[in-house]
Amino acid sequence: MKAYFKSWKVLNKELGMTDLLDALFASLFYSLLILTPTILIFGQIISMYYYLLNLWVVLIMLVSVGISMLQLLMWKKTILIKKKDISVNINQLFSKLLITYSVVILVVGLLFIFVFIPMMQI
Amino acid sequence: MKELTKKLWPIIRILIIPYIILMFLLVYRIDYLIYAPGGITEVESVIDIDYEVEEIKGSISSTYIISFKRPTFFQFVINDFSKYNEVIILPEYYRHYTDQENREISYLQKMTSVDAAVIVAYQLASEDNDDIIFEESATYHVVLVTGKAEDLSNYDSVGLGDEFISMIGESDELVTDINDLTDFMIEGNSYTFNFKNEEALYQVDLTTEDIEDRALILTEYLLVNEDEINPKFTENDSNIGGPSGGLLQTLSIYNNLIQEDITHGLKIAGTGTIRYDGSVGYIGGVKQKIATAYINKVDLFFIPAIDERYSSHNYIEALAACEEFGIDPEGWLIPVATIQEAIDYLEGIE
Repeated sequence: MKAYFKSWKVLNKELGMTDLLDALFASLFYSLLILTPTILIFGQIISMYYYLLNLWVVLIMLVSVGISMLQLLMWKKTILIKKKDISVNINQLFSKLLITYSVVILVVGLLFIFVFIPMMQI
Repeated sequence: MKELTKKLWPIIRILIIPYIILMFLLVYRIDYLIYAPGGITEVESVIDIDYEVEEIKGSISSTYIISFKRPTFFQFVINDFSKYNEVIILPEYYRHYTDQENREISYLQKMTSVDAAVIVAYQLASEDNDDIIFEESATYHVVLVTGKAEDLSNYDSVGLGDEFISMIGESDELVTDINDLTDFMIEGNSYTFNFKNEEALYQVDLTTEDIEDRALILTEYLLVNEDEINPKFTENDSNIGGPSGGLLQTLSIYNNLIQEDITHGLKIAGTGTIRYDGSVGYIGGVKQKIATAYINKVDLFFIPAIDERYSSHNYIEALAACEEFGIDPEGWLIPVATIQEAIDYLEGIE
């Protein structure tokens, strides 16, 4: 864990906080452009096929992981465009972040399937 | 930001028009009404009766469907892929209602339906169980605003669900009976109406035409005075509205007030409104309700019996839906005209 945070510090030092955040916001902006219609599509599909709710939750989990992957990919690409010679292993850094995202998505999804949805069906 | 935009620009250029079209399909709403299957709700989880009875082995659930007033183009298209869904043109009288007004109407229908269910169930149970106290003083009359036409004068001043108190008539008489309103009005004039909402009394000027043309729809209801009944009941919050759960709500409340469990361990569902005399009224979305019950594997399903006053019948629609979904209606689809028929049927099960 220490090494992980150290890598972020090195990246921050090499690239600068402003560029790092600019890359992050750029990736978030384009991810949101994908996320917005995705949310609308899922919301509308769920409303029409409510009886398949658990299936939709599983699909939402998969799509969320996909969009997270895309966001991290865009973040990484922007960083590499800004500065090509980075000493930190950026792939490893972002893979760990993706694993964290995926675990959070999985936990939230399972909570929906086993707790919130049964609670809603009163 | 600039760097990423530059890198993605060739893709953005290709996708920008399809993206705008997709967003248009996802947000533009059209004047249709889509019915889709919803779910079943155990009435006990919504209406809690504070009375000890023997263990209830089965369950009694109302069936809800999802109705979409003014769906988007996208919803309209994906609706076609389901054999359960149904689309109709949105009736003219519904078109001007906002989503909020639709929710208010739906909540109002549910609220009055629960009170009707309580009245009928307590009256029936009090005949069999001396513990149940339900006298005429436990109910009171109200007249509520249940609809407004688009051309109602002072449309925004009258709230859906607000209580009509009185009208100041032509010779300053105070008219409280809605059946007498037009007797005290002269064509072309406007009159002061007194209404009450949750906060206060308020006055609105309405014309004779508003009342004669039914631009303002006022409906009489009987509500329950909870202090006057025993045992007490609690209605829990639920986001499901509409009046179609009335029959099953009545059945469940009744089952919670008598000692014998009439469910016989069965998963019972159904649909139908309940009237104060215990008769069962027609509902919409029959096909989707049958589909919902089928998906949720209920053991038997109550449906309003044929009523000659109507031209199309819920029971006939339900039989057609059973045939379409491959359900054997024998012993599963039970038509009932009154709550007593439903109780008799359940009591007759061995």
